[in-house]
Amino acid sequence: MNSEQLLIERSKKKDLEAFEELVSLYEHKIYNFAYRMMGNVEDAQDMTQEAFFRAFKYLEGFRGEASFSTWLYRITANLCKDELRKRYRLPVDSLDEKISLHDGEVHKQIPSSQPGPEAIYTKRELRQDLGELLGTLSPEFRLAVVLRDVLGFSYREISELMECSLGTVKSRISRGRGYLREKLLTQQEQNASFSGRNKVKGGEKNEM
Amino acid sequence: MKCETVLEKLSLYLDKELTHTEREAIEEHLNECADCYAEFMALKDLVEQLSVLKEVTPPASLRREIYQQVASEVKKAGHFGDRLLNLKRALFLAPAVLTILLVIVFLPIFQPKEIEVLENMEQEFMPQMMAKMAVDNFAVVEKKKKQAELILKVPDQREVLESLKEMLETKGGYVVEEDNRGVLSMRIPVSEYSDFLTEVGTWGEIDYSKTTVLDLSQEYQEVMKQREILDNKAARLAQSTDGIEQLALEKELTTTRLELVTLDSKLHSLEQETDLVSLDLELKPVFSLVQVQKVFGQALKNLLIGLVALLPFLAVLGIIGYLFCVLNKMR
Repeated sequence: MNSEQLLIERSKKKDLEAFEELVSLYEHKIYNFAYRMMGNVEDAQDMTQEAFFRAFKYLEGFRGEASFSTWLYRITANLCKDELRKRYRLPVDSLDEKISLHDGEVHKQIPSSQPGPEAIYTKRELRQDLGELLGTLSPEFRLAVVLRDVLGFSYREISELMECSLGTVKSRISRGRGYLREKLLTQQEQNASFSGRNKVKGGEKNEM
Repeated sequence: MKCETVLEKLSLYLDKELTHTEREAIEEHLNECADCYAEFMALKDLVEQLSVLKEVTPPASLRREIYQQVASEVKKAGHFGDRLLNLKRALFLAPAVLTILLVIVFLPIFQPKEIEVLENMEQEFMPQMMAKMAVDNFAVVEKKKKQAELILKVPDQREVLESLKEMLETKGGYVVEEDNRGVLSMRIPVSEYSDFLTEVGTWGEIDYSKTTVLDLSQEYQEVMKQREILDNKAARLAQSTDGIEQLALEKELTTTRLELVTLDSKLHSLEQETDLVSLDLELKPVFSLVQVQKVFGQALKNLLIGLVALLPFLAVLGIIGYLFCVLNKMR
């Protein structure tokens, strides 16, 4: 039994010190995951706190089929998804991959986070924008892209974590990225129409 | 390969999630098609950008808050002490409790009216005492006399009467007395009595029933004892050959034998009384309106029984559903 398993066993017996140690091991990861899912620190804190609270409450149910890390991420993912769904009041069906990303359903949830006419396109800003742009993806797609590209999970890990098939994971990542690319292109075009300089930059970027 | 297909698979190509053949086909296309290559590079750039998104540091207060929340949960659980009191567990038990309650409430309604058995109190406690007293001389024989009165409401008096006699015959009983208004006196072997009663109960509604049990064991034992004494006496008398008293002896022997016969017949009648149940049965006709009501009531009863019988399944379904919800939430 390694030290983490020991901490889990002790936490199951309501050992608070052991659980605090577990929290310290995963707090940073879970917080960042929640932050990328929710898009702001306040929600990230709430989600992280709730996720750990639930983990503690339902720890008895954790039998070690998956790793503790996967289990914890799964709790957080479900919490964030539920919260996002509640906010967008999206029917669960429309989150399914069968719905095309190009139809109205998905476009409806995009907030007007587009840069204004004066915005100058730079890589640094792209980076900032990307965080916001992630927030325009529907929860299921956002989850897949965040897990894959931001947190660097493998496809297999993601399918285990999201409890769906490898095919679904592939499709969600692929289409999530495609959607982000499309959004970036629209932004670039908008920026380009205001500044010739930006157009050149965009071109350079594409040839990298 | 078409550009469209290639663009669709770019993401998987980037993550090396394609088969060897697919990968080669894409590479071949990217070498030739500048547009697709540009898109590939852009996608690669996007993925890179995502992977280097700035990490955020959780505020120091977060860990404290988690600790406090968890600690208060432990405290709360401690207050409740018994886990069964946990609300969720209580909810989990709710369907089962409900079912049990309903069964308790409804069950008595569906049971047939119980046949009242009135035992003679005085007699009831006698057999035990007697058993002790008689144990060295006789094997204890329980002799109970059963008398029953029964009023049965039936839809068709004549029909029931006929099947009643038929059944009585097969069970080894007989009719003692009968009037033409549906009142019968009969005798049925004790062993068949309860079967008989159950069957009769299905022909109509039991309106009144009373069973009186009279314990005749003591009397029976006494007669048996008396008989044994007399038997011994008779044997002794028969063996003695006192010449002078010969006449008197013979006279006494005759008396004794006569007494024996009387006792035997008494024993016989006692046995008769206890082996057969006397039943006075009155068959009352029911009006058709009542009959209709009864049929309707029966249908309603059956419906209720069906519903109650379904409840456990509902409970099981509920439990499965609840478990499913809990499992789903935990993931």
